This record gives sequence, C-alpha cells and structure tokens, in this order.
Amino acid sequence: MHSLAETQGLFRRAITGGPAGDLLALVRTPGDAAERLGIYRRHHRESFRRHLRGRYPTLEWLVGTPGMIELADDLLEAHPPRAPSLAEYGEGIIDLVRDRGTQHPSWLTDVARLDWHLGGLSVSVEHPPAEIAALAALDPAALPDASVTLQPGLVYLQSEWPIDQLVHLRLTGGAPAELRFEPHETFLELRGNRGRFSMNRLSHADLTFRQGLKDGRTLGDAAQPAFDVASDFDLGTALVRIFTDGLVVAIQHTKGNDLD
Amino acid sequence: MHTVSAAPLRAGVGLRLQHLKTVLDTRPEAAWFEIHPENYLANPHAAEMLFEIARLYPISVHSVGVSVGSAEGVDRRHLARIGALIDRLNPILVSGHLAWSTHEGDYLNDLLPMPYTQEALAHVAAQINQVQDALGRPYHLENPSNYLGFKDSTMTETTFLAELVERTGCRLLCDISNVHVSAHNLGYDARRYMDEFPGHAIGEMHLGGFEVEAEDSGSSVIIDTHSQPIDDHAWDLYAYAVERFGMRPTLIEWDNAIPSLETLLEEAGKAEAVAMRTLAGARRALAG
Repeated sequence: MHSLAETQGLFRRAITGGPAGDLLALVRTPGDAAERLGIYRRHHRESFRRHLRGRYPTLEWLVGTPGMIELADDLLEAHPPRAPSLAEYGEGIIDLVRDRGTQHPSWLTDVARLDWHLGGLSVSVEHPPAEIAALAALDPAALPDASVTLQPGLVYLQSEWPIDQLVHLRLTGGAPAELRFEPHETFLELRGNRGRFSMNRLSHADLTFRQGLKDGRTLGDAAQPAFDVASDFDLGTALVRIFTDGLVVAIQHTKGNDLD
Repeated sequence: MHTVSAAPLRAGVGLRLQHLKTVLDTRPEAAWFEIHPENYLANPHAAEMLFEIARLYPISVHSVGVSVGSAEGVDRRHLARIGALIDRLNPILVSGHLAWSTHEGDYLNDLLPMPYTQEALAHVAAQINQVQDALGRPYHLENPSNYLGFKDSTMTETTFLAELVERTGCRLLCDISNVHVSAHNLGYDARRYMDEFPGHAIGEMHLGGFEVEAEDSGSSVIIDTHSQPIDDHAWDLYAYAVERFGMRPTLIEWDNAIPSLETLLEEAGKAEAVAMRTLAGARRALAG
C-alpha cells in the first residue's frame, strides 16, 4: 500500500503530463482508467489556460489563441501557482514573453505588462480623494518633506512604444487590416476603480514625479528626478494636478503625521 | 466558536462575481447566497459589493482551496486569509471539500480524489480539526464527485465521512449531484449510498448540473461541470434525500456557462417545491 503522500505525488505527476503507469496501477474504475485520468488532466490544463487567457486579452489578440495557450502551458509547467487565489497568478507570463527574445517583437513584453496591470487595478477600490486645502494648510517650508498617499489603483508604465493604442484598438474592435506601429516614447498612468480602468498619457517628468510619490518618496525627493528629466518641470502645477485629478488620498508631514 | 445564525431551511444560490451588481441593484427575493472566498481575496471591488450584500442576505462560505486532503496539510496562510474574510461576513455556514488540491506547495486548481484508508482518515481528521480551530466554526465537508477510485481504499466513502464526523465533530455537506455522478462513474447504487450516508450530520445540501460524455469503451462518464440545469436524476435523488433526512439548506450551484440570476433563483424555487412536495407526501403517508 502506498502512503497518501506517495499516491498524491503519482497523481500529480500523471495529471501534469508525466508518466501515468504507476498511478494507473493504483486506481479502479468500471471505465478505462487512463481515459478517466484524462478528465483530471484536461481540467487541470484547461482551467489554467482559461484563467491566463482572461488575464492577457490584448496579448492573446496579438499572438493568437494558439500562441497564448503555448505561453500559458509553459508558465504552468515552469511556475505553477503557489496559492488557491487564481487572480494573483500569471504575472510570470511577462517574463516568458521577454525571454523569448526575437520570437516576439520587443514591444510585446510591454503589452503583457500592460494587460497584467489593467486586470489587477481594475478591481481596486478608490478612496475619497483629499482636498487641495490640506496642501495649502501645510507650512511651505515643510512642503519638501511632506509625502502623499496615492489611490491604490495606480500604476505608472513607460514604454518605447505606444502600447496603449493596441488596447484601444482591441477594445473598440477597430483593428485595421494593417497597422503602422512605430516607436514612440510613451508614459502611461494606469488607473482603475471598481471594475473600470483608464490609461492617461503623461509627460516624462510627470510620470517620474508621480512614480516617486507612489514609491513613498517625499515631495522634494520625488521632484528632483523629475527636474533631472525635464529642467522646465513645473512642480507647482504638477502638485496641484495630483489633487485635482483626485489621485491623493492623504498627505503626511514628516514622521507620518496625517494631515487629511 | 463564534455565534452563527441558523441557516434558513430554504434553497439559496451560488453567487458568482457577474451577479454581484445585479443583486445590489435589484435586491431579488433570495433566501441566501453562497460564495467562494477565493474569488474575493484579490478583488477589493468584489469584496466591497459582497460586504454590502452580506448586510442584506444570509451568506454561506464555500471554500474551493482549503485542501484538507493534501498530504502536506492545509495551507495555513490561505486558511488565515479566508478566516479574515469569514470573520467579516459572519456566515451562516462554512464548507469545503473532501479532496486535495495542493502538492508540494503548488496549487492544482482541482478537487482531486482521496484513497479511503486509515492513514488518510487520521490525516484528514487532523486537518479538519485545524481548520475548525482556526475558523472557530464547524466545517461542513462535502462528498466529492469522482471519476475513479483507489484499490487501496479499505472503507467506503460514507464510512470515511461518518468517521470524520465522529472524530472531529464536523458537519457534512451532502452534494446530491455528486452522489449521482460518482455512483454512475464508479458503478454503485446512489440510493444505497444515501441510505448509508450519516444523515444526522448533514447541515447543507448541494445540487449542480453536469454533462454526460461518451467514453471510447462505449460506456459513459458524467462530468461534474456545474454548467447545466439540474438533471432529473438529481432531482429524484434530492427528493429521496429529503424524504430520508428532512429538508436542509440547499444550494443551486452553477459555475460554468452561468445563466441569469433569475434562472438560478428559478432553480432554487424548484428545489423548494420538490422538498415541500416530498415532505407533504411523507406526511400524508404517515397520516394515512
């Protein structure tokens, strides 16, 4: 008699594409045992394919369903999920696309990254935004040391290609017979809230500033790299815009004092 | 143990993500809803709607990821995550499967079959105790739908379930459709299985649709797809179970090719009608 652990090891190997002979010797069924085992194998494979195809709709639109299935199968074999929350599984597709090098166009990795983030942030829940009065209440001398908490459903993405165009084309069903897709430095703010998402193009400096804030830097520390990429970066305007865009949830002075 | 509200002796429906907004917008007449907690762990938007629904309707929590049958034991981190959700929902019932889904830390996304041995019994009992201790609530264990069994099994599934009830004090979720599916697939009599089922421990029943596939050998296998209306065989077996054990909170499960909420509620209404008709018939027989 095999131990429970041994039996499950054989079962797992059999349904994930490994040899099934040792397991088939352990099971009984009125039907054909290999055929019955095939039901479990099929479910295992198909359920992950379905999930990963749902997480990468634009990638699948571009590489085709067979290509997406191949990526899904490769990910499942190399990096099976480690937790029973499927929504959190599949980010590894991005690395798989990147690692295929010349097999795919270089921008496809960025498309995969965009897909992954849009799926995740669209189910986030925004908090009531902070009023700009909270900023005005701050001692101007203390401003560089203040930091802000941004909405949870924000991701900043930079690509050498206008990858947001591809998502728009897919969503609007307006794919032309032939697309002239050329490099164009693109700085994207992805924002999601309660089942919806938006993609806003920013300037390089604004993206750098907002990314810094999201990473938890103080206003002063987030502004410096923005000035580095654009000497004419207007910090005052940028600061007002993060409030008027409703991005700020709270503002903290140094030592984490919450001002709103 | 937490204070748990009594589950209504009525039929509820499995609440899937696509129906959350409809429930909030239309406030349908529904006795109760059952959710899969795994769908809410990384979905704050869905969780927000669920908490609102939980203020309006009784909620049952049915985990598909607490793998009490895995030889490596339950994933404590996952258990803690669903425990936190359960604490916020204060559900009427908490349930999961007699199955295993993880191996060496990898999640296989299926409810895989167990051999019914003394070793497995001791192991699953220990896991159920751990789950009940962590959640502070009785756990309802569901009989599986199987496509094959194990030569090593030394007891029947019903004996295995009865022993688990005895050792852990857990409750049982009797999935009527699973009984029909497994009985067909493994070649035993579904009614005899129900006769041997530890009915006193049943806290909930499930009904789900399935599909019949032809096999190369010329026979057929029933796949537990939850993608169809409840089959007449399952309705007949449900009536048999109600006659034998009485009415229990009963759930309509539909997880693939999910229809409108209205259709699900109609199926729930049908379940209540079958139960009422069965009980009325039993009362008449007693009176006569």
